[in-house]
Amino acid sequence: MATSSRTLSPGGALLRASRMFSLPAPIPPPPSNNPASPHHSETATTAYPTHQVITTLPSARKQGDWGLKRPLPLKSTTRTTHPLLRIKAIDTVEQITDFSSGADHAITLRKFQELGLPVTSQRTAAGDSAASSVNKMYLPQKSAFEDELDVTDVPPEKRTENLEMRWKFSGPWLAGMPPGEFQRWLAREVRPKRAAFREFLRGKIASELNEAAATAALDKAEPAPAPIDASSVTEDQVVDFLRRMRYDKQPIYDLVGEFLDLAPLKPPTLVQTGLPEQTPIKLEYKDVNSPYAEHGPPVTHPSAGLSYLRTSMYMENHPLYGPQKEHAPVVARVLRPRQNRLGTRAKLGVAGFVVDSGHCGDAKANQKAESSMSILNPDVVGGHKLWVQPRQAYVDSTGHVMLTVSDASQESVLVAQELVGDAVVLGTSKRSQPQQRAETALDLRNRYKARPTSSAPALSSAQDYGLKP
Amino acid sequence: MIVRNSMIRHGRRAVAAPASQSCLRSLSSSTPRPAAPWQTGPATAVAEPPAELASAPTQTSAHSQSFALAQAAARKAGLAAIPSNHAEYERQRSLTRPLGSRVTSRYHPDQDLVNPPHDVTLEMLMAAQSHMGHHVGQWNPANQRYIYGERAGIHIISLETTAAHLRRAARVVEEVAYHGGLILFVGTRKGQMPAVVRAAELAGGCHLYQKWVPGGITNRDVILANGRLKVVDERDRELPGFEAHLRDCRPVVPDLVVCLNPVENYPLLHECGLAGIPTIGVIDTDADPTWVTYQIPANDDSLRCITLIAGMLGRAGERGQARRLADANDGICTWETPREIATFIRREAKERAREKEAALQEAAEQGLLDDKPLTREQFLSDEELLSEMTDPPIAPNPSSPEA
Repeated sequence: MATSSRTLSPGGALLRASRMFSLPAPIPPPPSNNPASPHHSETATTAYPTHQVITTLPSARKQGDWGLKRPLPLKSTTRTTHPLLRIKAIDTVEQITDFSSGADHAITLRKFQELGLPVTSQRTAAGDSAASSVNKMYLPQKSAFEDELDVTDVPPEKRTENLEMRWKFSGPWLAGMPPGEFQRWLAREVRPKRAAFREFLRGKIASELNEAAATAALDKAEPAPAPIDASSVTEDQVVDFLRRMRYDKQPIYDLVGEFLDLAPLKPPTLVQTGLPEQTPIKLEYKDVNSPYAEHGPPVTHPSAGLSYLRTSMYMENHPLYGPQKEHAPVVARVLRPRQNRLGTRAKLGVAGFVVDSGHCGDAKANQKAESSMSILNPDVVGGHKLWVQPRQAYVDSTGHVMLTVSDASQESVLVAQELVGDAVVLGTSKRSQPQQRAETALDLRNRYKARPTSSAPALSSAQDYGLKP
Repeated sequence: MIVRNSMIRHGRRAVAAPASQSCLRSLSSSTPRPAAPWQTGPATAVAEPPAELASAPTQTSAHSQSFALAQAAARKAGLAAIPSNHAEYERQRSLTRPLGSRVTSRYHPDQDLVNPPHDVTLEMLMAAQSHMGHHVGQWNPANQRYIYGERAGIHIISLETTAAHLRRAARVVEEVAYHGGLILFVGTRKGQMPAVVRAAELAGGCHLYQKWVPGGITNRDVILANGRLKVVDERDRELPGFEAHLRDCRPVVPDLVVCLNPVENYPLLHECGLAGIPTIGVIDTDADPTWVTYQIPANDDSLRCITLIAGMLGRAGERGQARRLADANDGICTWETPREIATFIRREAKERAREKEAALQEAAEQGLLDDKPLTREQFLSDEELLSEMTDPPIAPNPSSPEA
């Protein structure tokens, strides 16, 4: 290739290896974040990050040096706990560097990785409906990094083989295309491929004929005839094949889908087709098992880069109590209590993600969680909190992270609370609240007093000046 | 209640205790507690001697004496072990000293300011962000030959071009300094002051980090009328006897102007063009390269890049000055006396000769002259006379005005 044989200047090679050049280009924003929609918010955290987050060393940050075109303003970049920025533009026509804080996604990522949860691939097409979640809640899930699922480079002849496993398709998902875009796509992408499609059909017809001939020969107990080539299929045969296929929608869709590598579609229900109930036409559709048929293929990798763990089938070890049955539970905040009248579940905030409470609070032992999720108590500062056990996570078609949590067991909660000093087990003392008690003069003296000396002190101490009681 | 009464009621301890608490309170950050009623008077710092020291050990039994003896013996043995322990400690240190890693070079944000490099590498230029140009819509097409490409919406300036132009500019600065020229470093953007001052300090030039007063060159007779001038010799020593000339002469102009942000300093560069003063400028992709004589295509927004460029030019000026002074010590003067000063010297000499002639004439008229006046040779010894005849006379040193 011309690019590979072209010699690169030393400066060009340096630049190519530089950090500025290794910043990836921003990816398109989530489709739900449409500015025209009534639920659009400028300040809301987007479903997934679109820009790379960068940071800098403290000494360089003090001078505003972030490795960019110009030093960034110190007022907004130095007075922050997390020096994380996302750069929207290195330079603009207004001669400023457009940046904003990237702490939201970076801290969310850090919190998610603290959960120690692998991202599983979405295995059922049922989506988020409550009925199906009952069944699939505790089913073993497969990691998004399994070899059979995480396939992106598929040769054209093997496209149909793992259609229900793949998440990446070179063709579009037709159900998500607006009509205008569909027309444009037809004109630009599909029409120039007519001749290639006829060639593709010839190959299909030839293999069909070969198969029929081989079956007939087998029935007559004769040796199979020599297979015919695709080039020996005549134009009349192709036209006949097309005429036959025109009234058989599922096979022609399968052929077209294989040729264009279309993302799988969920067949419409009878209500969606708008046909009458007692229709004489019987719709024959193949059932599709791909998890992405209903909402389209995912906009990101099924793991979204959140976690690279393959499994959660490991045990945590406690230094005193040994291996633990459950992973460490986490504290969740009740964002919205459940509304029994409307039948909606409570919404919890776990590690920066909004989680449907699911079956939290169903356990008899967890009556406290049950009560905190059903009543909104405005007196509790920061809202009610409860311990939950994160079970699994997957990324849906629009790039949203879907977490599933359940009740945390009493024992694991106690162990976790003891670790942070909020509970007493085996005689350990509970953590005192430093804010509760004002510091007395005795505390001060103990803090500043010299170490007790057994014999005559070598140095003078506070004792010598009568400062020690 | 006054202190005297509280002393009477509560005794000395009452005054001593709050004094210690008030000392401690200055150390603490806790909320102040309300003072007791008897504490409201001014505290007197009277400390009480500790009770332990007052009661000296009076029990002298045989048991305690033997215990004290054993303690003293143990203490002596411990003291005797110190030298061997210290020797062992030093031996261990010498064994473990070569272990571990040693970090030889670390990045420090001020390193280009404190110790500027003599020459730049492409890595240094890239680390200083010199390759980042402006938004592609802001470019000046005259800078096309400096631009390597386009990335992330900005133009990328070729690192090789920057390095080559920077080296050429450093050579210019060095030779101007070598030939005794006056170099003015200009950087009027916020934050450029340390770099500009440091470069001028190294190159022995002048610096400007505030707004250039328009007319500073073309109208300098008015604007710089109060500036002090001096005449120095080739070793930069001030020469006396030029007061009359300094009173009448015009303010000096720089011989080279280094401008770190040409976009904001068009009046200065225009005046330099009118006065025929060569200029060096950092040209970003939005600047006009024809404003300056010697372009350095680089990012003029990054303080790190400006510090690196100014530091390297300052180092070049420092080299030139050092070469000039070394040559002056060898008797080589690298510059010519300005024409005005040469004219002044000639006119002064002529005037002095005329005065001497007049004085002689007047003396002759008054009959005060000897027929055979004593010459200088008659005051010298024989050796001095011989050495004066064999050694060539040293030429008088030329001189030049400098600001």
